[in-house]
Amino acid sequence: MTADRHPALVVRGLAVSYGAERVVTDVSFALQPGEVVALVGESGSGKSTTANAVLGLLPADARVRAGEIRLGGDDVRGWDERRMRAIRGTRLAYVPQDPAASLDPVRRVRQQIAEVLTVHGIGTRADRPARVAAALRAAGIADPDAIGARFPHELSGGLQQRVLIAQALVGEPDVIVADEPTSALDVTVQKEVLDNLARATAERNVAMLLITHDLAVAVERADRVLVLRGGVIVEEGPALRVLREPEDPYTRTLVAATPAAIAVSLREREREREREGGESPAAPVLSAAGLSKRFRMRGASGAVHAVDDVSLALAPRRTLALVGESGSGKTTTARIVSRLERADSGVITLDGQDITGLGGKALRELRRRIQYVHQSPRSALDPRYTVAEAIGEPLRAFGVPDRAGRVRELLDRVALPAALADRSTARLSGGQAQRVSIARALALSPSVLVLDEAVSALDVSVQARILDLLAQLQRDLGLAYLFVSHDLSVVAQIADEVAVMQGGRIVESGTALQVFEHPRHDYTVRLLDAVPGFSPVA
Amino acid sequence: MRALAGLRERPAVIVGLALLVACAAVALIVPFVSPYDPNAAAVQERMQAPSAAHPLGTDDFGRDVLARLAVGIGMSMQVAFATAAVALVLGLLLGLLAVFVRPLDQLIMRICDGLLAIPGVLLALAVVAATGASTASLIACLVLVETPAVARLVRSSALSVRERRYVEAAAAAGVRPAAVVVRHVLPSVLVPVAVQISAVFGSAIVIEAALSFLGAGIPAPTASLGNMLSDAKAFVNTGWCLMLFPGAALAALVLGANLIGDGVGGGALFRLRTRPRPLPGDAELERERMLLP
Amino acid sequence: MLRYGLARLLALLQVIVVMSIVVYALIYAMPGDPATVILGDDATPEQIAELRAQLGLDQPAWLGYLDWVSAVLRGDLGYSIFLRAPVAEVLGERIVPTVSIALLASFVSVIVAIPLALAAARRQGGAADVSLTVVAMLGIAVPGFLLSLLLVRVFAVQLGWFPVAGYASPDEGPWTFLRYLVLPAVALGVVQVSVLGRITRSSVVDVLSSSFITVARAKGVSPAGVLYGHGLRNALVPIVTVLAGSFGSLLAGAVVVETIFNIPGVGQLIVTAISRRDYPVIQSTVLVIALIFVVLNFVVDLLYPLLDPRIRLTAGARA
Repeated sequence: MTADRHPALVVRGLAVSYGAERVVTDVSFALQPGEVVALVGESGSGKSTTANAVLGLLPADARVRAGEIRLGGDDVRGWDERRMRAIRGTRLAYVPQDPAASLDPVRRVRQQIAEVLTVHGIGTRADRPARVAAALRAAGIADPDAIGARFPHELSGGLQQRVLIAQALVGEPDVIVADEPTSALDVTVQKEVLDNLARATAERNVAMLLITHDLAVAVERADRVLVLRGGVIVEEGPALRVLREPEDPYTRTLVAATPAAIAVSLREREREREREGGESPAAPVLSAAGLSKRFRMRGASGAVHAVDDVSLALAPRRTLALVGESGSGKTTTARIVSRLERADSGVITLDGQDITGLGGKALRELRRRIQYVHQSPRSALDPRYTVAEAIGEPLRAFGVPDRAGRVRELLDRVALPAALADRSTARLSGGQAQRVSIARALALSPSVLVLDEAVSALDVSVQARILDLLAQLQRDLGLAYLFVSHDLSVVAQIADEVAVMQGGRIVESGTALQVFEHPRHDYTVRLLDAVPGFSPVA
Repeated sequence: MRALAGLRERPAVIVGLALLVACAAVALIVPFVSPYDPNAAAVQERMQAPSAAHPLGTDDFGRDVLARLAVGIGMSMQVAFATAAVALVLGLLLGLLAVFVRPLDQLIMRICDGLLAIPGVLLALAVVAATGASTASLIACLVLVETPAVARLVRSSALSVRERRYVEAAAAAGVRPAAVVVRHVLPSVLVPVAVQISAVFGSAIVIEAALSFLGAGIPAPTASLGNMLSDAKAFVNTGWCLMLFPGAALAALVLGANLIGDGVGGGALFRLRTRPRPLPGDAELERERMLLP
Repeated sequence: MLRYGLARLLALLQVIVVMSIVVYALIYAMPGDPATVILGDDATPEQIAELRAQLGLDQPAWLGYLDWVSAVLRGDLGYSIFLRAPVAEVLGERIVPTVSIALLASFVSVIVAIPLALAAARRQGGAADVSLTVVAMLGIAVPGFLLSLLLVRVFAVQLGWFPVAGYASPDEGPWTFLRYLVLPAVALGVVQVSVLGRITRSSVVDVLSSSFITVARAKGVSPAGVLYGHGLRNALVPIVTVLAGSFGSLLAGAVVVETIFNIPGVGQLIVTAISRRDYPVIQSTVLVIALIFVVLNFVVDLLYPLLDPRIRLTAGARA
């Protein structure tokens, strides 16, 4: 507890570099007690580096070249490790990113939280359990004794993150640094966890530095927002002001990618399509009826219905989005429809032909008409292959002549420079790898593409470009897309029709506008409500 | 192959190769240039220190140590190469069968487990006890000892590679199943197997030496590193040079094999520099990793 | 937990069955008739027939195997042809020195390898890291029996710190008992340090790059607390696995090394048995040693869930 006249945290002129490379240049901000400040940026923006600098946890090869870091009244930049250790966990706390990997797998939850107390000599042995329980309750866990006795792997992602929040609260810090605290969670869980965190910090008048790549989250949860790009602050100000009146062009691109902005553009797109004259709905190019699949879980009682009586229809030149959180069955459905997995029951039809039971040569032939683009682009490409080899592989498999020419053509289509053809796939950025994956999927000129979380692993600005590319390809080549995603703002940018899945079933479907603006099912409402800044009612 | 280019950057592989080549050179060249019969006893010249006439001296039977050393190295390397080659072929066969022919999996793995339960030297001793000591039976028993580990490794490598997304993606792109195995699965399996085979080579050298040391390996009077050491055992007090040369040769062979394997596998042994931390721009990679189930 | 234990027990039994079949079947690898080979050319037909009956060769193989197994389960490990005594008796006396050497070697390797590897993991490229690499190379290149010879030369002959050879039974006092075992144990231990040290270092390095280690530091845990409490603690599974898994080669190594130091253990027993083709001795000795190794690993398997609670979930065969 420090004197109230000081701001909780002041950072002035911070500069960090790795060797010759400057990662953070002249970053300054101040946090008052109880205030929430968000640092927004994409990968490489320097936001995590700033957070680590404040905590004093930068890796050994990083140099803090300038700047002042004041915690309460103390300039901690010059402090040695021992003094820093004394304040970590007590005055300055940390909520990390990936909850599953951030908890020690071999120790019980209560022991890990209590470690903060034992290491700093807070409280007595007798009252520590009570402190731990109080922290867990403050983090939104209703049954602290039961949860405290568990091991981390026995808890869901949301519970794990709440444990981490409790761990940060138990030392009664003045400042909490939260680094992407909910990026790894489902969006409905995200909302709950952020609510917990907001309430806990407000109650205790704790200042919070919130690091996020999501501008909408920042605006919803922070008082002030700082936008970082390339290690430099390009914009700062009160949260709503930054959202409504962004001054910097980069900030404007981020704003354009927020769900609220997307909702607006969705409405506009829809109106434009109506004006163009609704094309009479052609026969669906791909349809599925009554798909079901059960997985037998080891040890658990009975089986899990991964997919439960799912039916869908995809019209040519249109995009159908399958939306849901983890465990909803959307990925399994997509894989069944593309015949990567077999359903227990149901029928799949492509261009009027029943493809459910195809095998052997016929199945291989099917690949020419329907292609699947995997989730994380880099893992779907053999790291030993070059770009040209990867794209050319389906051509080779079917003996298509003039492979090299066709590969060049495909690279051009996905807006990749021809010079990339000889590069190893292991050396591509995420966006490049995804373009290569798409190029490969297009190689055999299919009529349907099934895209599984095709842009989820990418930065927001890269996402927008890939989605633009997909839209253009759809227009030029007449493709139909089955687009699977958990990210509603992505879906809103590309989908014509939307089907919402929960627990293996489709709970709602309709045009994108219908589902987003007039959701009928409870779950859809909850889902939309959880997306920061995305209100179903204009 | 692109892989070979990277090998040149690994000092471990070069040093290991140098050691093995040096030993092979001794084994091949010395018998041609040496005037001595490695098995001919010349009692009047026993226990001589290294000299111009006998570069490494003579042993307690008056036999030239260098000539015997060359024979011993040659025998060790031949046995080890033969073992490694057969273990490689059998191990690949059994491991791939276990993966691609489901019913055989449990059976093959249980047999391998059972064989692995018997410590190598003991199993070798038991086999030699039954079949009698000869070079052929020695190779056979070493193969029996080493193959299970190779088979297990092939199996676990193939299983893990098979699950990789790019293998499925290749099948989804229309590549024929056999081609998928050859072009995507096999190359990934070959690297850990190559590491294991060099370890097999080293292990074969040690076990053969141990057996010969105990008198159950290469039959006397043919020289082998093991029985040269066994002869030297009696002279620990006085002529201790006798144990130095076969010992050094043995160490060179085993170290060489292991260094090559280590280098091929990524140089864990020689890695003295810190593993590079992911740079800030790799947040994308991190997020990708988190999205994977 | 019970399910896990039963699964491991089933695996253990399967391994024992295969292993015992292999050990038993080796006798059929003998060129020609085993009994004739063992007894030599001037044996009478009656002696041969008697030996054949004793070895179970007058029955079909599978029956002979079952007979042998039931005998072993009763504690009857066969009768030594040349020593004219039950193998169980002979083995009982001789197993103590061998197992003692292996245990001592294990102990030595643990107290050397683990601290060294931890220091190496903490500061990569530092003095401890380099020493570990050097010792590792030494341990790989120089087999136990070779190192024994060198150690005898230096420490027993030249420096006279330890006896050159010989053995004292435990009744003669702990220090005397240990004195005779130090050199062989150290020789085997150095090889073990190489294996154990490398796996400890790489496991700890892997653990230390995990997210929860950063979080522990962010809680204010001291470097020692992070290294031991979180780092080493999470690396225990591979370390214990290697310790148990290499105990078998320690036993085998002890067998070889005993012949150098004239220690009356299993090693000498088996070497003389081989030269005389005293097959029951060989058979039972190999079986007993393998059993010790396999049962030890089974016990360690049961410990895993204590070391890593996630292991309770995967109740299935290893690999």
